[in-house]
Amino acid sequence: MRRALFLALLASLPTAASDLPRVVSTNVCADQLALRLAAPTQLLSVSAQSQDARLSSMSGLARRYPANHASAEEIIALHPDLVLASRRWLAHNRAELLRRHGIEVLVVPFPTSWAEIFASTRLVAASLGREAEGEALLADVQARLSRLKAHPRPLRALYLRPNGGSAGRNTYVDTVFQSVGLTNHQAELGRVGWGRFDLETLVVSPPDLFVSADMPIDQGYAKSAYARHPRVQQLIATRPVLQIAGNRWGCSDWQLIDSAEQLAAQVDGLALAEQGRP
Amino acid sequence: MSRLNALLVLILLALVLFSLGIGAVPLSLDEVIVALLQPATGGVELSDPVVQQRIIVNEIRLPRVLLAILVGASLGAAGAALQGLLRNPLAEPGLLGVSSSASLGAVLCLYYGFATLTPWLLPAAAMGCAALATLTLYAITRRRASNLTLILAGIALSSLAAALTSLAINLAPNPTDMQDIVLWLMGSLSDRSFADVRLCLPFILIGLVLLLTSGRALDALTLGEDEAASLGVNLARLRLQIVVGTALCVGASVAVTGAIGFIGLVVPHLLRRWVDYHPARLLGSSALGGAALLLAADIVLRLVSGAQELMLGVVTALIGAPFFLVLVLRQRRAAT
Repeated sequence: MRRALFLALLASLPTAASDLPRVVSTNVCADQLALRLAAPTQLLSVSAQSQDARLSSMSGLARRYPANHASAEEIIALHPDLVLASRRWLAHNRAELLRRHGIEVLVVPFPTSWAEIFASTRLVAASLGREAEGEALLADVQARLSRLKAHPRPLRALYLRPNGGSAGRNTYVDTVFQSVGLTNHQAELGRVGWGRFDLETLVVSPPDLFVSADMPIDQGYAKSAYARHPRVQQLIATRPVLQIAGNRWGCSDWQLIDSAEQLAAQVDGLALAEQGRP
Repeated sequence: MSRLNALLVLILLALVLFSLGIGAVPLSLDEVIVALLQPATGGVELSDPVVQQRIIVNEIRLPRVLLAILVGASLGAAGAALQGLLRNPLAEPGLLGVSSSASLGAVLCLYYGFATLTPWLLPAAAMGCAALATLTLYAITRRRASNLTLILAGIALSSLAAALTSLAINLAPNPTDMQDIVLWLMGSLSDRSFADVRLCLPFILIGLVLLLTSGRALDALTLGEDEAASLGVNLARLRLQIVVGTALCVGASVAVTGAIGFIGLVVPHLLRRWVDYHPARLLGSSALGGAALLLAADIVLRLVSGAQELMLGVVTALIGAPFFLVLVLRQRRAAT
């Protein structure tokens, strides 16, 4: 109710740069949207994590702004009009504290499908008073999606992490696969959400290609017992393994289109290599 | 072989067959046995369904079963030997901090990158820390300490090892290693291969031989240390034998499966009355019983697990902790 009132208020304001709400973003995923959509003058601070190139795809841009560590004290000192937060950050009473000081808190949702990504992008754009930027961004994404979909890529792909973790339906990985036109092997077996791809099932029904992401959290010895299994290594060695580089898809925002295009280019590259073979 | 051991072997064999028969891909008992008899070799074509069955049985399910047997036997025998040496029914590698010290060694080795030099450093570090903990405990009990002192010392040791493990997490180069370390500490047998079996097999075999050959001396020890010495038992050698055997068994087990508790406590207690309270006979039976119980626990967790597999250490603790409680209450009742 309060947020609706706030948004209505925002919409009635003229959008001169000086009148835009001043924003502090406190979470690496909220930072991505803030950095992309906000006017440079209205963004007061971003989280320290998004200045780390290992965690954030926009670290270069993020370093131009002062960093915060998501503490209530820092935010009150900056005294913004709006705070962008993730679901986890800010327990209820901290949000209450900020609201008492007249600081609005917007919890940025974690979407999994394109419809949800569009909705959350519009939500953040509207609360920043930057609807036009939001629409321009989404129009670009929409055009790139249509271009990707024009060319079918009927291969069975499996997203696999060194611990055997995979992604079924209702995950952003599935969204990317669908955009590229790949069949998600895990979703095809009827699995929903994040889960394991069993070693035995992998031996009996291997995919046409593997997709992996280089995530820092996957380096551990204990978590990579699955990938060390000699049969997994044999399967991986005899099939293409496509890498999603960078940190573009962890936040599940409009940048998924970059990951999808990257993946599509690699799949098309495979097809060309296949044709070239005698 | 006594009747009890024959029964335990039969139970173990039945559990092995049952364990080989369950998994994500449904296979009949005939298919399992046929596949077992014809192991697949090297880099074969994986698209043949018969080859797939062989691989599933011989390379995915069999290492898991063998590890369960090796680790279960290790923990069971180590528990029985420690109980005999310390003449205390509460002695157990997990409870006395030997397992957590071994975990600390493994964790330190993993997180500071020593494991990448050679995989053998991992069991070496785990066994080294396990030996240190066993020696410390032994030094405490040599001064004719009471059961209470021993248990308290064990608690202190495991708290210390847990605190140092937390410190290792705290200072780990990569903060996201925390999830990895926690999973490791919960113990698991999933996705293991023959490489893991090879890594622990030599140490566990030597350790088991050391523990199982200490039986006659342990029998003499039930009369008291002085009496045992007068019967020709070399106490210093016996102590060293059991300390090294426990360290080898527990250290090598922890290095491949993570920490698995309570097997060493539960099994000797269940079996003690069936071997007429003879420590020597208890050793072999506890090894067999430990193997059977750990394999059974692994079967239970695979049957009840959904998409996310339960952790083996969690399941054994769920069985072991209530058992331990009953044991303590019964001892108290007997004392009053």
